[in-house]
Amino acid sequence: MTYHWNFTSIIRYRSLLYEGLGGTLQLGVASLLSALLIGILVGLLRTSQPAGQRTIASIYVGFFRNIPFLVQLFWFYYAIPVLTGVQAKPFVAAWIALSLYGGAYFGEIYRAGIQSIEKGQWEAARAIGLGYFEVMRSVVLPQAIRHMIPPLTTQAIELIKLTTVASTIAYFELLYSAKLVSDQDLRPLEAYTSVAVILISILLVLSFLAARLERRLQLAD
Amino acid sequence: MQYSWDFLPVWRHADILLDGVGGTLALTASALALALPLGFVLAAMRMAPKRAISAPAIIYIDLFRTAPALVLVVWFYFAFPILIGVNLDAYAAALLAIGLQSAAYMAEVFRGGMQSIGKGQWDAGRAIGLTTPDTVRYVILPQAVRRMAPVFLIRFAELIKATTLSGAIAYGETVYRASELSSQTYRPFEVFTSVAAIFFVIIAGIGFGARWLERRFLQENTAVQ
Repeated sequence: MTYHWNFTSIIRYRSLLYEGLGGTLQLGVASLLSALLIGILVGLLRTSQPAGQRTIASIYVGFFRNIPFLVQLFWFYYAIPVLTGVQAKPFVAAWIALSLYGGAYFGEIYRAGIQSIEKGQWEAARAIGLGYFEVMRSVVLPQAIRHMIPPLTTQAIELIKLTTVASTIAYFELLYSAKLVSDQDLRPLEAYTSVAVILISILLVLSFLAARLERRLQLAD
Repeated sequence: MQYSWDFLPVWRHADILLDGVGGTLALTASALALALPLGFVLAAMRMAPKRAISAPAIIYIDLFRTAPALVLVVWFYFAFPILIGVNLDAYAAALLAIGLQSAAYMAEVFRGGMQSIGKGQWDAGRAIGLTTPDTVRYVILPQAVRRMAPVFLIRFAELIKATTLSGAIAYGETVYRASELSSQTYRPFEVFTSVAAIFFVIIAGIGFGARWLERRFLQENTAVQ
């Protein structure tokens, strides 16, 4: 092994990496928020009384979970100009694709959480005259949220991992910035290794925090 | 919206997409052939009582499960060959990235399956004089494999999804061939709709199989009790 590592080009072009990190954070946070919201809607529909609503929601979930994310991303990237007549910005296409994909996974977690609360709780709350949203807000969700938090954090981390796929449609995030840096001085080993280390470190810290949160929730039980 | 769908160009070049599906299957099969045995070894190491054996397995599993799949694919293609001084083609790089990551996931499936078998079974194996590998082989695995089967199928579906990322390094799988086809026909919308349909059928089929196995396993369990 006689390769000489040389990180000077990485340090010289570090502003590209900063910009990439910003892109990753922007896409990650935006998609996470909208996916969590879409997930709530999906979870409520999946557990609702009318069969029609349940069917629509389960078709949605089946659709987005059974197609590889890269295919969905390309599909939206090409579908947006066809549907709207304007060229899709990489951020917009990636944001929409990640939100809808994440929404399907989050929706299933909410559904499982809601269904983990026994029927008796529902009946008791209904019996004292609470409406559907009241029951959800004051009885079911406060209990269910504890079951939901561990899988939600895991899925949130998966979503952040998927932001790297947006580099395939030339969205400027960390992985894309690695390509730009490696093109500068033809040092791909250092560029890709640096970005891999940065991304893995961020994700390891996030999963460490998630594990701690999970332990605290267990202690509280 | 005045877009007129035209799937004819896609249908006329269906052989290109089929060729891509072949590439997807070849990569999936070889990644599985790498991931299953390696995953089993990692699970066995991880369950070992000696820290010197379990620690490397834990680090491997955590590292590969945390890394985004596309980062691994790109790293093994652009960076790893420089490190080892050997040229890797797109297939080899994708196989390493996706296979090594899948091994980490498979290891957790094996571990979960083996740990779900009651401690009494391990003790019983030991009591009749079996060594640990023999206990695993004759007592634990035959029971664990049935429990693991549905989870394996789900992991298998995830593996197929991950192989699409190798299109990013120009390995000729379905998505890569689809990109070629769409620039050739100027029909990206139809091409990627077809690709989505192909994957949906394959992956939803596997998910259906997983649920069927799970139900069957539950029924057998209640029948025994």
